[in-house]
Amino acid sequence: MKRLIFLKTPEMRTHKQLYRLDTGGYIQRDKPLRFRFDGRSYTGFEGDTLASALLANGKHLVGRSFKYHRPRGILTASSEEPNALVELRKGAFREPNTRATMVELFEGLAAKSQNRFPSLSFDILAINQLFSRFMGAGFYYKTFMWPPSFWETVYEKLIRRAAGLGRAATLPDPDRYEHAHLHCDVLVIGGGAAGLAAALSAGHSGARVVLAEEMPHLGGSLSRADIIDGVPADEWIRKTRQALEALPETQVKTRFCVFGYYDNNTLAAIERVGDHLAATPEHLPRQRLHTIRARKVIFATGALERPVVFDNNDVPGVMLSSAVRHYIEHFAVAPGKSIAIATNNDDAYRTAFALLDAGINVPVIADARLAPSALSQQAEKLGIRIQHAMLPQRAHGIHRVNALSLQRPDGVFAERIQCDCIGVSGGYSPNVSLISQRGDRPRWREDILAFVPEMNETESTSCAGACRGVFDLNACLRDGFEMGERAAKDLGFDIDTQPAPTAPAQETDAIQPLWHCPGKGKSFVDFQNDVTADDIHLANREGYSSVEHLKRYTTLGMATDQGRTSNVNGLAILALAQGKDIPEIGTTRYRPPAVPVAIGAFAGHERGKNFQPVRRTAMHACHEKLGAVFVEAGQWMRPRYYPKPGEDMDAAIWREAKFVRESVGVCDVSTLGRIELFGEDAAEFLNRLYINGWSKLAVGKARYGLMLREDGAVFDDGTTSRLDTNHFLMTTTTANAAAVLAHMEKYAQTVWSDLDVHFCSVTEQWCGVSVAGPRARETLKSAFKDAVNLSNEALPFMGVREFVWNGTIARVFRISFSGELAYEVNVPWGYGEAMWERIMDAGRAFKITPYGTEALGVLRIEKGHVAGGELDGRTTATDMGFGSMLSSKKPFIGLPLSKREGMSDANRPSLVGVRPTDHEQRLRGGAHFVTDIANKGRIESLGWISSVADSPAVGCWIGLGYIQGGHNRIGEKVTAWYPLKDEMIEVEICDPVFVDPKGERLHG
Amino acid sequence: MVEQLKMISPLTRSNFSNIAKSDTHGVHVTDRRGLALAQLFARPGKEESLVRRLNLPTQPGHSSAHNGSPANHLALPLAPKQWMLIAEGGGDGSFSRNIREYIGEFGYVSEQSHARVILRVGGTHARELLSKGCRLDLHPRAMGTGACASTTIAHVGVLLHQVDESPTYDLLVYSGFARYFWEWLEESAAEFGLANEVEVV
Repeated sequence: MKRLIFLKTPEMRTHKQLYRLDTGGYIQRDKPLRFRFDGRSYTGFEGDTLASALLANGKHLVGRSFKYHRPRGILTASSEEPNALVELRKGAFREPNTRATMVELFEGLAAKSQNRFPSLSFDILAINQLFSRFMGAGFYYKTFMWPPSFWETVYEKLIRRAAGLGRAATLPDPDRYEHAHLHCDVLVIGGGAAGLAAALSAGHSGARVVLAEEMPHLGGSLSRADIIDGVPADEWIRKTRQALEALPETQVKTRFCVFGYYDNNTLAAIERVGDHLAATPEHLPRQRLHTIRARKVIFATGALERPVVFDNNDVPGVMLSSAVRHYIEHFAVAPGKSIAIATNNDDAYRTAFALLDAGINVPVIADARLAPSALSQQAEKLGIRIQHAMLPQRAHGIHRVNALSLQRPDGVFAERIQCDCIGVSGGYSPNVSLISQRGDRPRWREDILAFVPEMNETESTSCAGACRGVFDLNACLRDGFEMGERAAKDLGFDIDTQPAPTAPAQETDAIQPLWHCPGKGKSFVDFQNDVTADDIHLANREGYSSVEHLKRYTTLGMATDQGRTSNVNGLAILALAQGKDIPEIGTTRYRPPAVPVAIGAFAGHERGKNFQPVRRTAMHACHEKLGAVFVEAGQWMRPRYYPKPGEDMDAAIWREAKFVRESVGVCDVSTLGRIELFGEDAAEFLNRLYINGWSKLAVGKARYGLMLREDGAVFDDGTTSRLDTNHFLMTTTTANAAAVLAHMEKYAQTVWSDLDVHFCSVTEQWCGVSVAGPRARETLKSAFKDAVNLSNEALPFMGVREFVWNGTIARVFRISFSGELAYEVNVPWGYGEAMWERIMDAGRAFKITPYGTEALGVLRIEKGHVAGGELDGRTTATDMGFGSMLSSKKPFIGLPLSKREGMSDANRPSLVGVRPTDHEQRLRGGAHFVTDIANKGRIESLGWISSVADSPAVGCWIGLGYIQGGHNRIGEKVTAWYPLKDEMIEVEICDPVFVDPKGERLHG
Repeated sequence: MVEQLKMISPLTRSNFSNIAKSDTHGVHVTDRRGLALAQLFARPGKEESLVRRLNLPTQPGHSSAHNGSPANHLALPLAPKQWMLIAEGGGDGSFSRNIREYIGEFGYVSEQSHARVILRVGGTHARELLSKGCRLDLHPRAMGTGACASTTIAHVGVLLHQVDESPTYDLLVYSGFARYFWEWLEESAAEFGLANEVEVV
């Protein structure tokens, strides 16, 4: 008995959903939702997708095609949709290329069609169709050849405007994304019949199971007509879900799409947390990117129906037969009032039965197969007109199908059928896009005309159900159940002996090839990239006969859907053209992501201020209070300078540097790497690390050390102090702290494991300030009172003392980077603020000035001390003037390779100072020393300027640099060329120590 | 009479103390202040003596408690012949000094009380929260009470220790990263509801 169709009640009619059936589906008819498409208002119901709601309103035309701007409709009901790509949301939230079949409807949703101007029904660029005979495969390369310079400047821009998909938002993405890590014993990918059965058997064993389903609901392609374990499929899905959710270690994840398979069963999945909501609540991310580590993976990714390639097969209203069925059963939407069917296999008959059940007219089933099948006979009995050995010839209509012409296999026209929708079925292709990421090439099976995974099972993965070519429902259930059991058993779980779910046997007759129906017009293979059967023939004629070349020349399968509806048809047409079998042609492989994933999801939390972790010193708040401008030094935030009101950066730096030389300044040096070393062999270990010797360093003394990389170039420098006979404290540069520690670990663990040496980072145990300037001692005396004797006799240059300061252990180091009388004071982290405040208080009488990294740089350049600019990874100890430090009494890391010819070449550029002859001119870091430019016509570099500073002490710009001949050139005038600003100035080479060359201030 | 220097926690200058507490919360975070930390190394050939002396764990990834001299402590293995000791008694370095004296020539001690903050993370969603940044499998079958690991969470180096079955974790986070880490925790815990407090041990 047929049911009445189409909305009858007056209340429903006001929603104008003229194609909505009055019963059935999983939509909630008591919850109508308003939405807009291209500015027009429509209604749908809760549970609809945008695609089903548009179809309920009779709207098939939803987009324009990529190249020819042809009207396009909705082809599928799921993730592989190539046509129905729309733009969602507004402003910064704008999201192009959203598949309407995947968009869950919400109140107020606003979508727009894409790639059309001025409107969807009237698109000016549809004129491209008139020229389409010139726009076949490779037309860009053939047409836009001349002049070559036009390619980047003119042609590419024009093409990109005319072709292409949606418009990306140009504003920063306002959504929040998150990452998460998921571990399980068995990951089941796909929540259809096979996946549910696999999760059931694996889950019952007690294994940790995750069932991942891309759609919001479970069941996959199960039909309402299917019966499982004696109950309708709906009921079975509901019960199974309940059973799975009752298992403590099994998780059912929906809106959860696994898109990448990587080494060692690591997978990536995207969870749509807020996409189905009008706005994501503030406490939730929009999407969550999961990294999954699974011991076993069961792929149950199902199969995808193939379209049929015939003339005009892209007119809106031509839809996959399975999609027609899905819209009726899931959403109670009739894609048409009279739906013709074209098929080469039995599955389309199930659609016909669903249509009959819903009371929709099926004017004809055109079956390419010659002989009747069991199902076709059944359909005939129900009164459907079946035409065997009949192919579709042409779909008629522009914005919507209005008729279908049929033809005999030899191309002779048979008849024209009036209809407003055509359900097509070219057979099923296992969905191997994720599976083939394991690395195998799918294998062709002639009996089902499809590629199946080459390896059904590997040690850690297996495939179950339709994704490996098992299409019968009962067989799918059994297959999934067995794979689930086997996975659990392999992992050592006990499996219970309950039986697999069963379904009544289905009688299915063989499929028959139907790759390309004869015709004169455009028969589309790849809808998303507008590739036709003729394009494939053309590419083949032009020599692109390999499948990989075909793909790149025609762009077949290269769109965002990765050709999920088109690949097999395309390969088959290529095979036919070459008179070969499909396996001889082969297939292309897939790569992650299997579905498009927003870039924001990959970035996750790590964007903007969270781009990388931020490391703050103990005194960060003190610097903030003083109005410091911060600079990133690695992950550390360091004060760069402390501007006073109305002061610019240059003035602040000048003032800070000047004040240190005149009175006293204080600088946060907590960020230096600190490594504590213990052991009887600690001194020996340092001997091997550094170029200079450590055995004779007295307790209570510090020494400057330089270490090389294995290749002989300078690696890092710093001072290391001997706190006790077997106890050292090493400091490294801020930038290299982690690298130096790793370097030490490598040698201690793998090369010199016999040494009694142990070390660990104490960078964050301590915090430190450097107090520098002629009044430094007075300042600290006032701060420390009697806690420690700072006199020159008690604590000479390079002396170290540990003492108790106001109840806290503290260390003072008489070391200097600035060349002034200076002390570095360390206290435990938690006392950093207190120390800073006490020193600031004590220095108030001397107008103590906090100084940042910029002034620090000025001071050390004035003193000729090397830092980052000089330690650039290419320079040697001798280049820096440290040749005399190289110990000849002991071997050390880097020694052998530092003797290489090039490394010891006397003509290598070495460290000098530099200043402009005209004191008004500024120097530039990175400028090259050059000679005699005007005469030679060819520029020869003698070296470069590595660091520059506007020096208050010298009264002009000064710099450090490397130049061939080094010290011998002192007094010479050369040209410094800075090509980025095309500046050329005359400079004088001088001694690198500009201030206090005798070190009187230092030792004062 | 000298005035003592004032000690602050790396989280004192964050919004840790003034975030709005939600009524229902799935995650509870405590900043445990005033604990002593000492990193311990065994000298070559003295490992067994040291282990006996301080009752140290020898199985990687598992902590053990020691009740007795010189103080009660918890030991977390860090690497072969290397442990992190946690004890009550403040960050004045006295615990490290006492251990150093107590073990004599068996090993070396580095004072670390200020180098890390200790955040105790508990509540019904503690595991789910940590899985947003932690690559380790925190499931009870993979990790139980007493398990510990050096790992990264939200790109920050963390020493993780599971305190009880509920589960509750102690996270030892480098002081310089404490504020960044706390801000990540706060954002990631928003969906579960977050409560936090300071505990001075």
